[in-house]
Amino acid sequence: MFGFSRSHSPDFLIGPGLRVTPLASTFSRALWGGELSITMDTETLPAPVETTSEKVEEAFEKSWNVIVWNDPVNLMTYVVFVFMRVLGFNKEKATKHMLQVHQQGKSIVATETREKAEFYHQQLQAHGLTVTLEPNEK
Amino acid sequence: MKASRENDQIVLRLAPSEVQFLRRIFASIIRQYLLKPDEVHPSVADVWYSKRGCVSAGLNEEQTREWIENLHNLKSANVAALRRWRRSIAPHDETVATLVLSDEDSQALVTVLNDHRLMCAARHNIGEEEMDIRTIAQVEKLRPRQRAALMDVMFLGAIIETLLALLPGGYGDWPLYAQ
Repeated sequence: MFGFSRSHSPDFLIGPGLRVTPLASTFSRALWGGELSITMDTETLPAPVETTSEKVEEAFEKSWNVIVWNDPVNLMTYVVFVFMRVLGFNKEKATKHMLQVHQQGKSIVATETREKAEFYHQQLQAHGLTVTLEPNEK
Repeated sequence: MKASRENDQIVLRLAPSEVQFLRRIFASIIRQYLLKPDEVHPSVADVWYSKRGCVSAGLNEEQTREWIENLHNLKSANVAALRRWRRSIAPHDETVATLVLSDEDSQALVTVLNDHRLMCAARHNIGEEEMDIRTIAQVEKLRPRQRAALMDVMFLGAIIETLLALLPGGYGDWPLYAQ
């Protein structure tokens, strides 16, 4: 039922190892479409390249924790169902994480690459769960 | 409501009052799914389209807007199924109506009904205290609209648990498993 759309991602892949932010993409379209005319000193160009490089590093090297938070309305059975359906957990693992959310207020349900963490974030929230991401510092 | 599993499908047999209830819920959720995220009541948007995760992930404004738009697309993709289910239980006489659901439909219905629970709770300030109510006396202390919303939340919860118990995968019996 739920399909993953690549366009939700913060960055768009434009080739192997290259990324451009949506803002940069808009700028590029405007520039190539003739809506913008700019004169730029070539010495100013390295700055955005550095930013892109940092984003590539962040996206590919850092892992992210997907955290599900407790709430008073979602049923325990429903949360188990969502963990099994979205995260592919078996029942034992889904139940363990559901009880952790219920008793401790939150549970780290996955530690993944940025892209996969965002995918889980969207799927879990589409199922009505409260989700945040945080960089995994370990 | 009588629910059973027949030929790899879930069959719900609904009394006229249950048909009326479910048709109202389906109509309500179709209306809400068709609204853009910024048109939804702020208290509901805060739950359905919460930006907490986007903030925690460090998404900028445009990225967050795209993310929310995609989330809305996921939700509104259920509208066609909701209309189909609503049509299939259209009241024609006083007899029992039947809603036949594939497993995929059942899983979608569970999520949709849960969204309605979240919406009711958000709109009528139903929190932990109200969800823990166990006596009629406590229910009677609630404002009429809050009371009605709590009844919706509870009744839909019962339907969700019934569907989960009938789906393959044993979603509905976790307490037994936990023991």
